[in-house]
Order: sequence, then C-alpha cells, then structure tokens
Amino acid sequence: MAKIKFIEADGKEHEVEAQEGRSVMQAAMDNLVPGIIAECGGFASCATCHGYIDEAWLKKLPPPDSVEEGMISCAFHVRPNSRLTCQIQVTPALDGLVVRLPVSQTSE
Amino acid sequence: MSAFSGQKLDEIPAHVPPELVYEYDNARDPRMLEDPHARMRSIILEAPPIFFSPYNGGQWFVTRKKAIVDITMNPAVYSNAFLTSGQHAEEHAGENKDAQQGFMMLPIAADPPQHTAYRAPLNQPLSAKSVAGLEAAIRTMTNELIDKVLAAGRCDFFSEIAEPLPVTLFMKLAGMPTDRLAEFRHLATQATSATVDAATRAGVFKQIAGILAETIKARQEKREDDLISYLLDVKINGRNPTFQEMLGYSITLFLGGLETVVNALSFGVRHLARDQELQAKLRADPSLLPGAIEELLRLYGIASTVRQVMRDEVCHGVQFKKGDTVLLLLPAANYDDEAFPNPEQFILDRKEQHQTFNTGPHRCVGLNLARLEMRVFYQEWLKRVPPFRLDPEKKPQFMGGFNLAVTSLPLVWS
Repeated sequence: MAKIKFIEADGKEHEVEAQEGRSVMQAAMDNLVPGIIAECGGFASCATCHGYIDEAWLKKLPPPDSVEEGMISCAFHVRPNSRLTCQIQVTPALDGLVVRLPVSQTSE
Repeated sequence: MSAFSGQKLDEIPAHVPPELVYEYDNARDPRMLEDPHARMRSIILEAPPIFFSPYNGGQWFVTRKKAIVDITMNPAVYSNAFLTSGQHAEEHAGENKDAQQGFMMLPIAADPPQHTAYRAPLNQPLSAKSVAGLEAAIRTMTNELIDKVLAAGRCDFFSEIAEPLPVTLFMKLAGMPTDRLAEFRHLATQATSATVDAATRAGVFKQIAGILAETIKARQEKREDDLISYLLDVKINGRNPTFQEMLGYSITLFLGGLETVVNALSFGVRHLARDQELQAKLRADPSLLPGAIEELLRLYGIASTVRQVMRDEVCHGVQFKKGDTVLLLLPAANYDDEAFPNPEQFILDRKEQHQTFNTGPHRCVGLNLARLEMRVFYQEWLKRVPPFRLDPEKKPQFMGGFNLAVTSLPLVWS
C-alpha cells in the first residue's frame, strides 16, 4: 500500500490508499478522483491520465519508455514533469507521492 | 465451430447447455431489421446474458457490459489473431464461402504484444490534439454537402450526407486524390453492402486494396502531409512497416472510419428527427452537443466485435471451450440495466462510459476523430437546416451483420 495525494488544478486535494500492483491511474479511478479520464483504460493510447510528478519523486521512478514519451506529446498542458499515470506502478516506495493534475485532460 | 461460415448449425455443440441457446441471426433477424436498437434492448430483456446462437456457423453472444470489459481486458484468453478482412466480408454477406485470402487488418488482427507495436504509431496522429487540425476541413465538407440538399427541403440523409462525409474525410486524411472521390465512394458502398454477394465483395476489396496500394507507392516516392506518409516512416519494433503492413493499416483506417461514422450520424439524426424538443434544445445551446453525442453513441451503438477463445475458460458462469467464437454485442451492452440505469432513456451527461468504442487494448483508435466529425457535423446541420423530421411517406431502412446500419433515412423540413 502507498498513500498518494492527487491535487486538482483548483487546489482540491484527494488522498488515497493505493494498492500495490495497480497503476497510479487505477488508484485515482478506484477512488473516484476527479481530473483523470483514462479513456483507453491504461494502455498508453490516449494521454488522458496525464499528471505532473514532483521533481523529487520523478527521480525515483523508472523513466518513461518511448511509447509513453510519444503519447505525452499528445497530451494537453504538457510540462517537463508530465507523466502518464497509467504507466507508473504503485510500490511501497511511492508512499507519500504527490500528483498534480492538469486543468484539462481533453482540451487547451 | 467455423466462425461465420454463414450456415446454421444442425447440432448445438455438446458443451453448450440447452438453456443458453437463443436463436438470433445477427444478419437477418426480422425484429432487428425493423428497429435494430429496440432489438438490442429486447435481447437484454429476453435472452441469457451469455447465449449461444446456431446461426452463421454458431457462436456465443456476450451482452453485458461487465463481461465484455472482462473479456476485452484479457487478450491472452480472448484473441483477435484470426481476423482478416476476407472473413469480415463473408460474415457481412452471411453466405457460406470458401475462406478468402484476406488482408491482415492492422492493428485489429493482432494480439498484444504484437498489437501494441502496431497500435502505437496510430495513437499519436489520431489523438484529440492531432485531429483538431482537421476541424476546418470537416466543417467545409459538411457545408458543401448541406448546400446540395438545403433548398430541396428533403433528402435521403444516409446517401446524401452521412455516406459521403467520412469517405471524403478519409481520402483527405490519407492523402488520396480527391478527383477519384466518386469512384471510391462507389467502391466503399459496395464493400459494406449486405446485398452484394461475397464474390463481388471480395473483388471490391481487391479493387480498394489496389487503389490504396497506388497511394502507398506514390507516397513511398514522395512524402506528403498525410497519414499514409506518416505511417511509412514510423518504427514497428525498430523497423519501418512493410508494404503488406501499410496495406493492412490502410484498409483498417478506411473501413474503420466508414461504416461506423456513417451509421452513427444516421442513427443520431434519426433520433433527433423523432425528438423535436431535443432538437430545439441542441439548436439553442450547441455547447450541449458533446454530452448529447455521447448519449446518442450509447443509444445507437454500431459495431460488434469478435474474439476467439484460446483455452477452456469459464466466463461469468458459462463454460467456453478452446476454439469457441465469442461475439461481443456492444450495442446491446449499452442497454444493460446494471451498467446504465433507465437504459432506454436519453439522459444528457450520464457518468457511465458507454461500450460503443469498446474497451481494452483494441478500443477504437478513431474515437477522437469520430467525436470531432460528429460535433462539427451537428453544429452546422442544426445551424443551417430548419427543424427536420422523418419523411412520413418513406420509412428508414436498416441492416445488420457485424455493424448495425442504416441504408436509407429520408428526412423532410420546411
């Protein structure tokens, strides 16, 4: 298990208990966190599970593969610390992770 | 079972319990031909959630959303690898023909991990961000089509608006010569017609493949700013696509964006023609269109899809055997009460995701383009065409098969 905090663009916070073996996206969806759409269900096909990972945490994660990188370029409101949350697996090492969400997953 | 051999089985397979047999012919059922989606709802109310039909070579039908989601999220057990465009053609004809040398439609006919490699290059150019660039072209095309019918006060929406729009758009997207539009439209109509015999259809597919091949060859010589040029240079497992793979992609893109959008538009417009209040509401406030389009997509699903069972497996209490064919009846799942409260009602801004684009790794790659086409189409149509209704003299006509389809939709307006 790991505690993950999602922060919406307007500042609203949602702290969830994420299950090991699920993705960060699934943790958000399982807990009805608004601001993630996950249109494709977790196959790195749609870029609507997009989140901003704090720098300190980014270093602890395996870097994105080329498929994820390609899809990040299709997301809206991309920043240097953008990741697709469906590609990040929950482990105990992620306890305390903070994920900020973009103002929109589907438009500028 | 021989998938879609076109013949009704004489004997039910031994492992199918008699209480799970429900005789539904998805190409010819009279109630479906009368009103396809009323039939989908009746199947939810009358048939077992998973049933076996002996028609068309015999296959299971899965009709509930949860079961379909579970199946599509399990490609190791439920495989796509047997699909070719030749078999699609046979099923559509509903006739028993020898197996054709079909084209391996990509990425449909692959399973993960090969599927992932074939699918990845399509996700970017068909992402919401990328297709937004087509908005102006869709608007222009829509208005050109409306121009031709507006003054008459009537049209057959299907043949005059719904059919030409996606074909024209595809040709633009793919980068094909628009001076061959009429020829291509004719071929597209024949490719998807239920009244064309299987041999003719196979010939039509060959012709379409021939035209696509010409375009691919031309782009190999000189790249243009289109999807075929883009795909020539992508990497699949570290190398560029082969010519056969380019054909596989092109045929999928062509067919995928054709029958589906044509019918989604037609069923949607039919609904609005029968609901003046909703029509007025959307005309007055076009910002409601995205939500309305999703609910119309739910009520009027089009495509169903098929899986082959790779090992004996129990699915929601039903024993499947290795080799069984399973048809995922997506339009019926949209009327599953457990998934959609009051499923027959049009409810703007439902929260639950509909099954029309399916789920899992094969979830429709064109859904952003479909949504954009529909949004732009309705914006222009509702703006320019006065309140329209069904022609009281001529009923709409429907067709079945893999896709629920409209073949004629006469409309009138003042």
